[in-house]
Amino acid sequence: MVLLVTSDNEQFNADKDVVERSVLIKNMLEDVGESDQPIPLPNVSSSVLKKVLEYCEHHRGEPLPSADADQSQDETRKRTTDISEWDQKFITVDQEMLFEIILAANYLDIKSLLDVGCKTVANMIKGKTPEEIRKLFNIVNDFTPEEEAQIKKENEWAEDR
Amino acid sequence: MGGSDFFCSVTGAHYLWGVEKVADDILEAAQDAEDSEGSADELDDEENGQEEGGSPVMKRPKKKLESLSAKLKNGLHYSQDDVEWSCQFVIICPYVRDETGGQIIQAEYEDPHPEHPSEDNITHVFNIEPGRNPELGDYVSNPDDGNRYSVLGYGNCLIIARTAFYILQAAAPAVQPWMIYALAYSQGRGTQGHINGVDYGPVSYTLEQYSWTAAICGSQDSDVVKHFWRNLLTQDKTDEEILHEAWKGPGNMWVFKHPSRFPVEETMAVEPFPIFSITESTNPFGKPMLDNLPVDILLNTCEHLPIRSTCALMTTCKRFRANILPHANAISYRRLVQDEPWYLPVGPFDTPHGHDEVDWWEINWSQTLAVPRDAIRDKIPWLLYRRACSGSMSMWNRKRIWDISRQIEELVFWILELHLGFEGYFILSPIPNFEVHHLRKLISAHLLLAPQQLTQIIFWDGTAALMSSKPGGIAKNFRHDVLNQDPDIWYEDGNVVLCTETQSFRVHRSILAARSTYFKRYFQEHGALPDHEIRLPEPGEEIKELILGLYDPSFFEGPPHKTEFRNLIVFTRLGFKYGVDHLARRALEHLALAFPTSLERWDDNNSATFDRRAISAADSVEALIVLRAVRATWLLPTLFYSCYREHSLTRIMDAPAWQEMSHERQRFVVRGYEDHVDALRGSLGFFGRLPTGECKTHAVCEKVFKEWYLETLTWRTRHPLWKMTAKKDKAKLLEKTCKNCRWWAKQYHAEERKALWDHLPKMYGFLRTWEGFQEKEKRALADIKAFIEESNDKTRSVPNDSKGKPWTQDGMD
Repeated sequence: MVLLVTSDNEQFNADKDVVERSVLIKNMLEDVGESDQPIPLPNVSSSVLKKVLEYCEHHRGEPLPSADADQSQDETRKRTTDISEWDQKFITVDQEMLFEIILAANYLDIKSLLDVGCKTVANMIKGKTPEEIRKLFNIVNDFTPEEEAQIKKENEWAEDR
Repeated sequence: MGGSDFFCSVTGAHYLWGVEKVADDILEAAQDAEDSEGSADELDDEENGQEEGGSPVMKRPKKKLESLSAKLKNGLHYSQDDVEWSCQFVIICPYVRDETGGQIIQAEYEDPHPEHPSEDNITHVFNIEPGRNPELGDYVSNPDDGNRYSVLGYGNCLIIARTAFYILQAAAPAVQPWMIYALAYSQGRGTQGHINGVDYGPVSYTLEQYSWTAAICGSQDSDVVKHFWRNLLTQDKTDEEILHEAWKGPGNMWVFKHPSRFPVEETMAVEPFPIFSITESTNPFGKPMLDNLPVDILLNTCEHLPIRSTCALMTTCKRFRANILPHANAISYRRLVQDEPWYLPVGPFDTPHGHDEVDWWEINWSQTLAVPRDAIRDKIPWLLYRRACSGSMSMWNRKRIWDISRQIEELVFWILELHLGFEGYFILSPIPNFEVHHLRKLISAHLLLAPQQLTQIIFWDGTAALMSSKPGGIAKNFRHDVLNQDPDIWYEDGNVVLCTETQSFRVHRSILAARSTYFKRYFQEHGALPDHEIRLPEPGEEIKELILGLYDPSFFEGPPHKTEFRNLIVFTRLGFKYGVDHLARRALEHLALAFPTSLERWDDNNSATFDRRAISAADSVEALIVLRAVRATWLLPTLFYSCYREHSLTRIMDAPAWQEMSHERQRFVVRGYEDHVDALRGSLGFFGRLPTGECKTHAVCEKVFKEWYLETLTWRTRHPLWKMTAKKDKAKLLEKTCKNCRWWAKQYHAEERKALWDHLPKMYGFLRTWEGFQEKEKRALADIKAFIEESNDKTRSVPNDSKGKPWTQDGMD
């Protein structure tokens, strides 16, 4: 068992093979060796870590991408926005939590979870106009009117056949 | 046009006769429409008629065709490039080998169609162009190779525009030319060259014997086409607007554009997207939002977006734009390779003109970008290129052809699957307007609904068809795969094929009919069709045994030949079902020796031809069911006895065939088992009568019998018909008693044993006595033919009898 401490000072106990889906934690454990020392995760809150552990628990035992295989995996990894049914359900959260999970996955270095998060965001963006995207994500339009006139044409694409 | 127009199997298009050919067709069509309206006006004064003339329903067009500007008319012309690509073909045709192994092309109209297209009889030839009279199917090779290619609607060649041939190779690399041939033709049916089941887009309206290119507007009805063009050309719009509608709008003229003229110029005509300076003002410690995520996460998200959406994202705010735009080309390139490969050149291929596309691509980019050919990839503005593709008619057509290639691949894949998975392909009733995705649905639906009818789903002659599952339909059209022929039983002079799931046997109708009443009746009912095929539900190895047994009278001998119990079950079942007397009788004779109807024969087990104590629980249960089904019930009491003796109830219930029994039958077996076990205690009753009154050595004998009795109480056997002298230690024990006791012990035991034997049928729940069973056995074996008939009649009249009715029901008949 590994003891994790979150930014809000909550402690989580989890199996080694669950938390080791995080490359960050895996490396930390290798560095400290066998020890009961709790691992501090100052960038992850307890509510987010709970979700992340849920994900790791479900995907426990699946092969991890090895560090040196990264390149070739990136080549073969299909750039589709398909998400498995369980992941789909798992990631159905509000926007704030979605981004928290993405940030945590990025920090903890859990590539598959980061991908699920990014694909979900991509699915939200797909097919929308710039104005719709701004509305969805509360993005402030900071272009000047002149700049806007200049780029307006960029989004005028002919219909693909 | 000539009378034998032929179309490219991949593009669905006809060669263009010249740059103005389509324009001529269109203007002629429009003129026709105008003339027919004009003739309606003839009663009016020609000049004034314009004021009030015209039907009240149809609004008159604003302009006359003759007032069309030369610019508009010329605007309908294709380029010389478009004409050229439409006239350069690859031909797919049959060939045979000459004595030296060289190919002899068989592309003449009268040359035969190979019945089973394969790479051994279908080839493809490059550099084919329309000849002097292409409208008569005259195509020539350039340079002339001495072959004549007669490309006719009902000929035996396919033509594919060379550019499309290469696109097909890239989009569907697994599809070999002979597969396309097999797909387009089947059973000698003609084709215009197009492949039924493929959606060719607007081109499909021109797929007629007399090609009429004006029909690309989306209809085959000549009146509709004529009025469409007339209205489109004469509406009150600018020439540009009209041309836009003709080419890219409902006129669909884009479908003949050269599919590998990539929009290089168009890309460069657009100004690069500007980047505006930003001041990093977002608060990295605030609530996480899309716009304060780290840049690499933003870029990772873009890797999952269509290029168009990335473009939209870049115009939402300055930060996104500044962060994404520097990477936009790299991301766009990866997305193109991954998701939209049709916007990239294919090849190079090591066949004639196989380098054309790559060369054109590299030369044009390298000139435009002013960089060496091998350096263009990093310099091409991929985002702008992708944007230009969506407005390019060439790319529209390229995407259409790519999509058709994928459809062909899917169809070919299914045909090969069907060839491998099922044994033949035939047509009963073609389904009109059939398309690829229907095929998929239909097959998966059938796999779900009726897996046992797989061999009956037969598809394809270019259109798909469903085969009727009616018996006659299958038997007649079922073509058998060589792979399934049984190597031992495939008589060349045979005239009927018996098919099982795993193998088929070619045999002789006369022998089947002579030895099997089932087949005799079958042939009487179905007549004598040549090479008739009959599907049998039994496993292949069982049918093989049956045929061997039919052909070779000594293959399965009766007693005293030794045999295996398993064979007896099979030969009983098949012998009865197929009405093969000698097999059925021999099987029953074997069984009768091991499972007799009298105690004497039970005890005399020396003549048995197999070891009844070595029968597995599974075989025992199956045998019970089979023998009950064929009504050989006289074998059942002793078979039950053997089964109960050798196997525990749990093992009996684990037998696969147990589940086939009705609950009533299962209860019958369980009750019989309990009574059987109880009977052991009863068989020990005689100990109470020992020692006898005449005993001389009372103390000794009493001690022996008492010990013996106490020992029997610990027996774990289920053998109430045990024999006192069967075991040596028991015989020795008996020797210790006095002569009188010994005699009486044997006497008492034999009496009780006989009583138990007599009680056996009743104990198990049968209504018949041993005498009844013996009589039935005698009658059955005396005229086995009649008995089989009778059994089969009963099974037929009560279909569920074999499984459902109680075992004892038989006692009543």
